Amino acid sequence: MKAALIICRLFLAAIFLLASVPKIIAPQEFAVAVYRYQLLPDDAINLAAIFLPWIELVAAITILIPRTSAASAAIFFGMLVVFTVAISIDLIRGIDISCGCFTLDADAGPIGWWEVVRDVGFLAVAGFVLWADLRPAKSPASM
Amino acid sequence: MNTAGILLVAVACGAASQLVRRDPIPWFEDWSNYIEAKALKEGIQLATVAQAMTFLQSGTCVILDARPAADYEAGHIPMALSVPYESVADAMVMAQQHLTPAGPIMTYCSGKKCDESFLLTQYLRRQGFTNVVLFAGGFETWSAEGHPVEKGGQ
Repeated sequence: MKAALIICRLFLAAIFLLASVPKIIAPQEFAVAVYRYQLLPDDAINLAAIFLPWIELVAAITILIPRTSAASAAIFFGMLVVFTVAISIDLIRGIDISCGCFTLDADAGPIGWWEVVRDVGFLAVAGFVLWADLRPAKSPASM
Repeated sequence: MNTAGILLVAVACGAASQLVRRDPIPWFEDWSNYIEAKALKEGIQLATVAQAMTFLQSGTCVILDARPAADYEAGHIPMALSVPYESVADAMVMAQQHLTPAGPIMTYCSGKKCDESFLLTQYLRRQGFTNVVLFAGGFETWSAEGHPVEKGGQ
């Protein structure tokens, strides 16, 4: 159980580290990717492009610290819910855009239901970490 | 550190990065003319609604509708061909017979917030079509000006 928890924390840290770096390096390109989703009001697009990657990066680091792991997992869980809903809405609306998740290349393939399935998988991992971190620790007497 | 603490650190890092980096982006930006800005940067010629009307009346310009087929069927600029960017390769097989490499082509999509016409224009230029203009105002501007609209498939 403990090994699974450590692996899941490392997995989420790696995923969100990989996702955050290209966005931090190229905020303008990320803003364009956010814009293309056509879900946020204009005034929120650049703010999302500025702060979202840093939330991913900081939470990717703090999930590796046992004391802050639960809070980081909660942030990842919330972000993944938002990402999954956003991609699903645009797929339903028929908006043909690239994900902007791990690469900002406009010629990257368009979003598909695969991205939704992938994000639901990440959600399960974040949910597991959150559950494992928040469940009451067994006292030696109860073992 | 709890959730609020992590978010606070992240916001501070984001704000600091804006202050120290050479290429900070504006905190707020007017995205309403985004397609135009991108098109001009790429050297794509833009058409106004009046120019779009002139193209239609001249009958020499092939007009391509880059929106999904359902939007095209609900209403489109008269004489426009449906080339949905979401299935551009298949749509171009049908449209190819109407196009010549140097012939005038105008693309449009739903309005200033869409970018399928921009992407279609880039695609056409990569395919060797040299005379492509983009009507960035799109169908919303066209219909708002009271210009004629056709309905149904092609």
